[in-house]
Amino acid sequence: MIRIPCPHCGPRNSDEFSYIGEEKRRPGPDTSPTEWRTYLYSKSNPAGWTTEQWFHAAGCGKFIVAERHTVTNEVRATRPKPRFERSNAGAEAGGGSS
Amino acid sequence: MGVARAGSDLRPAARRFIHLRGAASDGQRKTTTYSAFSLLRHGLTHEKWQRAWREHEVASAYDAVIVGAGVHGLATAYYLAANHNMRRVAVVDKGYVGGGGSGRNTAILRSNYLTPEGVRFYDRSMTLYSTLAADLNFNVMFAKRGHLTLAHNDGSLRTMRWRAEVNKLQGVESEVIAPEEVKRLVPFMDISSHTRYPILGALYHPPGGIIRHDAVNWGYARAADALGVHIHQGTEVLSIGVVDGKVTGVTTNRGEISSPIVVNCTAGWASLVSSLAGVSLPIITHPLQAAVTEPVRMFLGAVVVSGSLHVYVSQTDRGELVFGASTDPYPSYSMRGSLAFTEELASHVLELMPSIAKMRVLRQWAGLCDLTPDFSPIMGTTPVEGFLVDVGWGTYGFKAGPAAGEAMAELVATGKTPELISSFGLSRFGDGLLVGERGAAAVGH
Amino acid sequence: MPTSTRRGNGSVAEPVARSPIAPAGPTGTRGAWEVSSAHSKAALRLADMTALSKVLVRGAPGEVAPLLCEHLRARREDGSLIVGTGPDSWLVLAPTGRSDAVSEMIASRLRGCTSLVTVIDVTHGSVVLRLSGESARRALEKVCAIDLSDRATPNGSSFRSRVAAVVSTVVRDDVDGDPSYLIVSDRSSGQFLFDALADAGQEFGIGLTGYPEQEI
Repeated sequence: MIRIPCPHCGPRNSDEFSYIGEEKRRPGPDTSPTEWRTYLYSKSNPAGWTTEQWFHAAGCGKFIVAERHTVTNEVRATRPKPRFERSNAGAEAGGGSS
Repeated sequence: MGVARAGSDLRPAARRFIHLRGAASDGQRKTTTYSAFSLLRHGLTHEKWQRAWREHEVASAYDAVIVGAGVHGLATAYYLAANHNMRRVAVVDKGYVGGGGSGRNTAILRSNYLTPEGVRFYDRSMTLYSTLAADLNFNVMFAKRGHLTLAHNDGSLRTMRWRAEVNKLQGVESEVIAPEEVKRLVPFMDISSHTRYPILGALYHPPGGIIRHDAVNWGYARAADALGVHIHQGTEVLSIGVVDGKVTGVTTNRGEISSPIVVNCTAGWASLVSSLAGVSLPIITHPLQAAVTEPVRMFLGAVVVSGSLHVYVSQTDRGELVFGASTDPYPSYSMRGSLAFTEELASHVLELMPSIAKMRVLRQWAGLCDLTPDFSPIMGTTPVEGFLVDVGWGTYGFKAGPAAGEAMAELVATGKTPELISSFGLSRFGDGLLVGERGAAAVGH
Repeated sequence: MPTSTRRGNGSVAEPVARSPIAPAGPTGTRGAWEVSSAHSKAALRLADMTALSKVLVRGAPGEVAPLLCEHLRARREDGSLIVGTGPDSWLVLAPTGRSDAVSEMIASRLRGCTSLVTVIDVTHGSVVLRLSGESARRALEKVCAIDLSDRATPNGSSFRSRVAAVVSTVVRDDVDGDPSYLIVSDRSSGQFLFDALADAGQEFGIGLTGYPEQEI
């Protein structure tokens, strides 16, 4: 069990989170199949500090980015994962309704 | 045995004799043969036992350097020497013989996988394992107990039917059985329908069983040593020399070794060792925890596995129950146990066998599993010439040791990838030709 | 036989809604709900508050939080309790039968927001329990890993974590100075959570009590 300081909820047990994976840049739509498979399968899998995504399933329900040491399991920094920006053009102002 | 070698038409004991004579005539010591007679003689004379393998100075050059002195590395070295007469071989390990995954697994053997490629490969390993004690002159304590994979839902039952048919087509004994039959094989099992995870059936694999994993490591080490292989414990590979896309050797904490062939047979450190040669692998390393109870009288014949409950149980010849679980939910190189694991494992075991509630856990440990995207291993060549890999063994490496060693030895000696492992090359990920074993590789990843 | 569907427009004589938790002791009706009318005077009490109205709000943190409540806090307002359950989610608890009115009220308050806002009635999708009394904290600590000290989680604070392995929202909501926790989880886990809390409270002499007059 390791402790992850959630940027939204504070320190929590890792069993509240789902591990998502290493932070990597997703290739664009014009990528070649080989590049796409490299993105899918290749892992740096370091023994040391790594930056990865976790999902706080049993907490705030947000994706977060954590810097973790894979040998000691120490988590030295976390931050919210930048929110996916959606266009508000089509959103009805005050679109709340029951 | 399907491999041609000197005296293969003779009885195993006679074959061994020839090997050992061969080793001795190379100007090396003669390795004692273990037998009832030698045991009696030692018992009476209190003569010192010969060391099972020797220490050597690290030579400056070998024909092949194998990284990792576990079952895969030692088997590769042994078959190189025994089947291909390549004896200038070094096995280097930063720790000790069998100290990694080979000594941390739960020692279950089976070949009831999901893909034809997988079934064929693991079945070759079962064949080698069944005569291994005689071949190595070392009691590896292989016990064919029968192997049960329980189905708790329709989805698992469907996968099991699928597996049984694939298995049978490859000539592997495997059948789906009803709960009553499960109860007959394991009378302590709760097969009633009111349990949280009722048992709907099981995949029964009679040839499956357990083995003493340390004995396998030691047996291979001793037999390889007798044939002239150098085993260097406490020898860490610090860098791998690559010039013009070809391997030139390794630098270790005990000096430089030049070698045209370097084989990465590590588990848990596969990515790190490969990265020394500049080869990136699609591997992610997760710890997997296991535990063992105090010994009790034999009551559990078969090996029992439940994918839904993430647990597998067997009873050793000493009477201890060995439990394994699924891999820890995040990658790590830490081999520390956790209380959460013990609690979850205990609750799942009791779900299956409520009557063992009073048993005490003696100890728990963790090993490292190199998981690949398709839950199949990676064996063969890499973009770096002379740098070979036998890695990505996830939770299924120990049972594969002999077949992997035999095939890797053939690849090293002949330069050609044997048909048996041709589907498991590193290039399959770039080519999109995965060998999906998720449904049969292990317990719930 | 009582049904769970609303019949016609008229008033309902028999209950049309039930909590997934078997009622403790005798039952009565409150609004359209069947509720326990048991009354416990034990020092530690557990009540099934599932009949409360529950409204879930989602929206952008910057816009909605100032209008409703900060994350990790709970705020009382006009007989309802607004809980910040996440950076961008809120739960409003109100007396039974008030979910339409509460939804209207929230929607109109958030009308000026430019980001997408959703207001959903989740009354029938979740359960609410109340654990109150001197030893409520010690009982809850047995099944929840969060620091429940006054320093970390004072009255008016809330968090989302596991309670007896069930993902739940917990609100520290003292009643007249008496320590009290509201615990909200999915309806399907209700009975298990109730039993687990009753079991945790056993050593403190827990009593099962009914739906109170003062709902929230």
